[in-house]
Amino acid sequence: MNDNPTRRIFLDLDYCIGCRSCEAACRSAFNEARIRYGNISATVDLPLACRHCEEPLCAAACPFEVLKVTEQGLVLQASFHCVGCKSCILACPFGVLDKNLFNHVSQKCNLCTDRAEGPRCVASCASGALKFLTEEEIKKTIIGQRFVSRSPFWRRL
Amino acid sequence: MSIESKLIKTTCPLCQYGCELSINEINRGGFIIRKIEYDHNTLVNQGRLCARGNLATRILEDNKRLTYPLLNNNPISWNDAITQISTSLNKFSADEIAITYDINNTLEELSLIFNFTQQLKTETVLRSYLEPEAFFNYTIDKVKYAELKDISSAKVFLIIGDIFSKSPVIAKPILDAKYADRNHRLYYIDSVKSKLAGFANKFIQVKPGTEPILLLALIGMMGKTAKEVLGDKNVSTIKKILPQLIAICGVNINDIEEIAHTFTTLSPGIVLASLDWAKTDDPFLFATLAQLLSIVSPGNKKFCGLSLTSLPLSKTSMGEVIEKIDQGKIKALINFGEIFPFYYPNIFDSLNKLKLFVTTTTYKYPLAIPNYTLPVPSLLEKSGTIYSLWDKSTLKPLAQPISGSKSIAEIIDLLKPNIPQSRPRLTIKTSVNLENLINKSISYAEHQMVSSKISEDELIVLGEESAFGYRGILDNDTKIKINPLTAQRLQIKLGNKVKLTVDNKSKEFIADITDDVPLNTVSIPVNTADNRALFPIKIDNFTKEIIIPLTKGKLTNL
Repeated sequence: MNDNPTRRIFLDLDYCIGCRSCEAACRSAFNEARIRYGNISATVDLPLACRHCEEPLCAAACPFEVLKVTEQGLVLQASFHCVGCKSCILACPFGVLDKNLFNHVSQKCNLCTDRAEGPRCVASCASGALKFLTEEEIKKTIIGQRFVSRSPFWRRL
Repeated sequence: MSIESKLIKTTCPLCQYGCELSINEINRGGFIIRKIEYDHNTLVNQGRLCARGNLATRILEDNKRLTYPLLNNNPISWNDAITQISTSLNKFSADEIAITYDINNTLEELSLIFNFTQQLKTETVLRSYLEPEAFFNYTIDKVKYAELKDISSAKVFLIIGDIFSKSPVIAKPILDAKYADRNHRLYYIDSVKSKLAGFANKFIQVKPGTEPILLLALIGMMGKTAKEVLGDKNVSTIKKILPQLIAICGVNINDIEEIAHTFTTLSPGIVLASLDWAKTDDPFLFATLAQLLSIVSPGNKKFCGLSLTSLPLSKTSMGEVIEKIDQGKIKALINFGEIFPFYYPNIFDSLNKLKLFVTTTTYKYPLAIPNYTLPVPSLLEKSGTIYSLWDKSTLKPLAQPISGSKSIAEIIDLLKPNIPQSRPRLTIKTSVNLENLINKSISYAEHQMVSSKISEDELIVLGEESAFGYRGILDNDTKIKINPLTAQRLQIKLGNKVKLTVDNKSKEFIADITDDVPLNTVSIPVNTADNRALFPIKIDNFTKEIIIPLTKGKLTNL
């Protein structure tokens, strides 16, 4: 379990080169990608990570209460009870849950709670675009202060 | 039940960048689970890995691995295979045998292979690694190679070819250096608008195959230092044909002048180059002119070629050997490595003419393989030394060699016992004469001026490799990138099934319509042998190496 449960995955658009290393790292650990590399439109493709919402719609949609918000505010899945009904996949407003099931179970990011240093996708990120920080920490960095990218030929947004 | 865990730290051998890779091996009463650890304290990559490195555990546990020797695609025992190979080897004279090796051998294994060839008394020993990046082994004497710390201190980057797909981990030091100051510049030259274009201050999209010509033009624009290195006469010849050179590349002269101006004024800087599949008709010029540009530019400029393969070069090259096989002069070929000939399916026609063909491999390839195929441990299971982009690095085995395989040392020992352990000298790079190079590049440019037009219904087919698509394990290599205007002309819509035909070979793809590729050009991934088979090979007249020239094909809507 990581030491500060309020930390989340953030993406620095200035650094993401679209190498899909995050997805490969997730697949290497969990067999199926829980961080998804989404082709949002013809020119926009980005890694999509679970936001661990305060009021998660995936948990609300789950008919068997498999998805639950823990005391630390993480949305975790007890995959043993999951029947693969895909309700959570349909409910997620950010589309971060992969529509493909693995072993008939939907794949839900758990921020690598088994790894003390934080998520594997962040550690593996080849260009250092993914960051694992708290909301206060992110506000102090350059990602939290700007809405536009530094790259002049920006074409992904 | 006892649980033991062991941390193995090694260098990732899946490309030449030299990332450090650590794997935690957990043994639960005989059942082994391997997990990749990301160690933040490593020097080269700070724990970061690309998709290829993340696949290391999957490659070790892949069920497509070959675990028994094959004779004409039928299983055979190791004893029978070795006896049959030794007896038939004796039938050939030394001139009729060729030995090849590829990048998946450690330096120790390479010296064993060289000793083995000395025992056989054959002089035909050469590399079977035919990727275009091997041309970076041709070097110019004065070139200064960049070290990792040079990237962090550089103020200007000139990138030719998609280096971020080749070794994504290089992105972090480059982008850090670029964002460090508002005045730092990153220029990118390529025929395909890859993701790297999004980070460049200026992206120059050249016509496919014209990168060497643009490099020649840039060399001519470097001013005083170019004259010192190349001589007044050569530089004035280049300057005379400068407008024509720019016109062939199909770019705006103002953009090129801006790049030339900034690149000469800002220092230190780095020229980074990467050669892709079927990118140009002359990869030799591409690789050497990129180096020359770093030499003739004023100030402290260094060069970095991704991925410098660091394979020993020999007197013979693959083109000559293929010609000799076709003429019947070479009758036996033994290859030590993992990918040849499966990665180059178009070479099969020639290899079928051999009386004896032995190759080592790690995978069960779907293609029919003539003669003997011997399973060997993969590079991930070997210990030894390899060259990386920055230094020599040590390999530690991540797992036991797969059962049923024999190491290259064992195979050589069985074929020719008691080979003395002397270390032969390995020549890694061949130096290039500057005068010849300039003459060759000018005549190449003049040739291109005459014959660079293609007919209406033909399209240029480019190949793109990516770390994520490595060996087709995660990605199935089925998308074809088509220019929107070309797609409109051929009435192809996004997601349509299309058939790409090159010569008499064809394959189905799913259309991905994007302006990343220039007009009348399509681009396909070349991570798998299936897609590679579409590209015909050619023997280069100058270097006698096998090259994959610019390919033309036809696209039909299904």
